[in-house]
Amino acid sequence: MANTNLGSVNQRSYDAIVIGSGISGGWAAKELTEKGLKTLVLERGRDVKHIVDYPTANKMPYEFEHRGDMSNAAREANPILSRANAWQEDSDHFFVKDNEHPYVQKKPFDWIRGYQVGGRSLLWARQTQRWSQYDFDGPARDGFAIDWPIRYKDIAPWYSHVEKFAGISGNRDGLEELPDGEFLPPNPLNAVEDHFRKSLQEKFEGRHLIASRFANLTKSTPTQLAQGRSQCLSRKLCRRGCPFGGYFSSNSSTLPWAEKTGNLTLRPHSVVHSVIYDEEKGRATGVRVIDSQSKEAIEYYAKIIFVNASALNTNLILMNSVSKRFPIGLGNDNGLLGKFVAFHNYNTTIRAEFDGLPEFATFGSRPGSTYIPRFRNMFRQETDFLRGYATGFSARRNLSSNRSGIGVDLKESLLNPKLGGWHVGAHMMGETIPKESNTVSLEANKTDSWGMPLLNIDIEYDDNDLKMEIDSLEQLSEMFTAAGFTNIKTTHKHQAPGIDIHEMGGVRMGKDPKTSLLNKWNQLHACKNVFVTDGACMTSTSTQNPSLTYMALTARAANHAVEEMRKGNV
Amino acid sequence: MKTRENPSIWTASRLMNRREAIKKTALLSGGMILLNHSLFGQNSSLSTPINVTFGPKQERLLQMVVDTLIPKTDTPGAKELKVDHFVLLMVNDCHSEKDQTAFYSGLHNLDVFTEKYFGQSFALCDTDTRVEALNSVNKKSDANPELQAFIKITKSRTIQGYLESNYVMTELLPHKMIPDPYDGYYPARKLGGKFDG
Repeated sequence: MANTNLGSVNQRSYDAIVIGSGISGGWAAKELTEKGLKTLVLERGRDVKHIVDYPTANKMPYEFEHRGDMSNAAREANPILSRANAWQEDSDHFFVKDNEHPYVQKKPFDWIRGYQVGGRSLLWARQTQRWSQYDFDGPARDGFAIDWPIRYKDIAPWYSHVEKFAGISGNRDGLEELPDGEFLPPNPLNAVEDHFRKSLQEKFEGRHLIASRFANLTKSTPTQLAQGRSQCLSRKLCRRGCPFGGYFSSNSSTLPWAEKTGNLTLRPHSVVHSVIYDEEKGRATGVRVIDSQSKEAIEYYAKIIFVNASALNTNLILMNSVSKRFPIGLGNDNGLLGKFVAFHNYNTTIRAEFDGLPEFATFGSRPGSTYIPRFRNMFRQETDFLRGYATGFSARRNLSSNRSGIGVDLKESLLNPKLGGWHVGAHMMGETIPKESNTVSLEANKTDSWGMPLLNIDIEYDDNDLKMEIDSLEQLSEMFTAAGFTNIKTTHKHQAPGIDIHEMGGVRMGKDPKTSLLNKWNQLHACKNVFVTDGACMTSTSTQNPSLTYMALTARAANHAVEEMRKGNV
Repeated sequence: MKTRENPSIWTASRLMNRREAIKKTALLSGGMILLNHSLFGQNSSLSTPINVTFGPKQERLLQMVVDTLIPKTDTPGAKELKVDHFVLLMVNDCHSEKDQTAFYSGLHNLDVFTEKYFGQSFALCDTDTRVEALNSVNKKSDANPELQAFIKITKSRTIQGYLESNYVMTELLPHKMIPDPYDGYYPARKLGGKFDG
């Protein structure tokens, strides 16, 4: 295709290309531009500028036609998206609609996407717990997947690096299984959360309730102020985009930071078709892009390429990057690209009431919640299933109104809400075991509007997941009962994988090129100037919300890439 | 209130044809203040189920029901805040076809019910009788199930529309876009807690 008006090859050449502007792509952009690399960031969706493009950020509830609800017509048109909790009238514009970007579900899989600058970093749940040595040891100890090529000590300084910049709130709890980080002041626990914490401490060895660690600024240090970000005001409207920069996103933090270096070029509307592999040079030389608006094909060139398109799209791009040397996908010598995909299991929830501590209530708002790190099979194998689950927990005591009346009674009751009792709730976050049978592949005969092959997703739960779900309900019921919680109600959901929005793997890291795609620096074993540092690189999933780990791996890999470039190795 | 209907129960058959929708819009806007474009917005569908008549008479009846649920006192009630418009908007845009059918049929059954138990149409009942009538719908075992569904939907959407109205959220129970700082050990008595521990 003619590259009219697109400038010379020289004008389309950079030191580095980053595919994707979400939470990991933003970090690649920041690190690479700070080190002086002219960096092109390609984003398939539209631009979303911090503050300017948050149209709903300051609207009052009554300014939304349906007070937040999505219409039936919208739900009917989006059966997949309608299962995402954060999809509401105020955040609709940040979600991909089902019919815009179809994919093939060999088995049910809810793929929730945000195609815009910043990607899903605008919409994430902002939970940022570190992995521990026990998480990286997991596959080797328990004999599943393959051994991680890195250990906690390799990534710990990079966790610190990203935590300081992003601004992570947390308490220093001194737990081996959930290492402390560089924390802003913690989220306060309320009376009943504290009660539950003490109850676990007294009655359940090795089970700890802590303030969750999360990426909202409970205080803004000079580091965040320099980014133009101020303290979180607990509005809990993060999904709209925050005009105060109160939570971390690519839009509020890494991308504007990268832009300030003068080394960033951001190109929205750029669907990456493939990575270009030069057979003679034996390395990747650039990427092919389809402009999503003009549908024109354009090539961009760089010395190093970071693939951060989000886990499944990174798989898609690599599988679509075929050459004589790599006929079934870039770096895919062992045929494992797209295999061993895994996710997190959120299938159980539990709620109850509590009659104790009537002298206390909660007042005001806070951005975080509480967290119980994994306690099952932590230091040794103890159950008939592998691995375990972390638990999110919160207690609340709200004002509410009796709505049984009609007329003046009802009106009086609505305008004079009364303090109710304590309510508590928890949910599991389970590790799933990566399996060769959980795969993504290209649908050869079906393409999207840009001529890209559709992704075929073939992923399901297994018996290990079911055993873990049942155990979580048993254990949490026992823990609730021991704390004196009453009227315990459990919910065992059977939702499709994907709705956890923690899809991982397919381009896993490992020591051996025969069984993995990436080395310990996130480089493709067989094409070392291509780095994959989004969810696709994950060898196993552990239980922690994954974004913090992607950020740390990205910063680590980007700094290694710059060092290797300077040595002339890539 | 969140309604999360299972989208799989939806079929293309409920999609009403355009002409029918326009006809109903015309009918509804004829002579009534109701259903103007600023109320419904450009993207709303006026997909009242086919075979249901919804004209000025039904509109007045709905208005009387929301007025009965949350009346004017020294502050405006649901009617004054046009909550009936909100109820219709939500039923038409955000409820399932089953709910919509029950809502419109149930509305038609209200007069049948009051004629039977109170000897007159809802409109002719005085305020106390209207309250008693709405209260008794769920107590009469022979009451039409669709009427019961109509009352349930209308009540919950009326409460929502009232509490989430501009007036209530600014004048009566001011909504704070910037919430108060969190206190997890706040004395319950300061919130009028019934426990004084």
